[in-house]
Amino acid sequence: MPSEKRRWLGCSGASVAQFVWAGVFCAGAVASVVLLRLFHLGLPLRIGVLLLAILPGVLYILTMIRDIRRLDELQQRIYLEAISVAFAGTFLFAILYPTLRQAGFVPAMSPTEVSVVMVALATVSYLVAKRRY
Amino acid sequence: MKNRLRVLRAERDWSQAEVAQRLRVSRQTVNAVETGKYDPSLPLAFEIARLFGRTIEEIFEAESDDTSHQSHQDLH
Repeated sequence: MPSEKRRWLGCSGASVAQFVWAGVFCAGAVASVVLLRLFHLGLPLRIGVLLLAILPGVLYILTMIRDIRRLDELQQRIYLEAISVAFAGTFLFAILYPTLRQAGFVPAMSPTEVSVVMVALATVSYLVAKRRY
Repeated sequence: MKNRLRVLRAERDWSQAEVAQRLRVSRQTVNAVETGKYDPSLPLAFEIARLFGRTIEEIFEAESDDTSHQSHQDLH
């Protein structure tokens, strides 16, 4: 990775653009929910409102992939370990959720709250993997 | 896998950051390779060898080399 590029990347290998698109995506998602609740919109406008959240989301993913490609091989391995743990952990949690909920170990959760679990798992496993090397 | 990266770097009085910049990888990667926590890919091993003007075999050595050499001798 050229040094002039590296300075734009944070400790996690994420560029400023990645954080910006993540922020725009979250703002777009909130705005689209608010707009759809407040107004009874026709189909073309509803699609437009949905794109408010979807387009920044797509740009966020593309930026993340670009950033991962810029990382060196060890950083890519760390990233892969973090994403793998987050994916597998969230998958197991989703499968076990009805049982955990029935047993009273977890409260009722929305998909948005489950995504927080995924981000937390990714962050913890990223830090563990980074510390290992 | 053992390596002589630290020795070769010290001979040239290069810092880990300097080697990282020359190899276009992070300093963490250079440190992980030096301490044996991470074995580099073949392309990176070639890059390292080229940087120090050595062959890969002169820099990297498999941990099990002594054992396999011994068992090879035992067979004879």
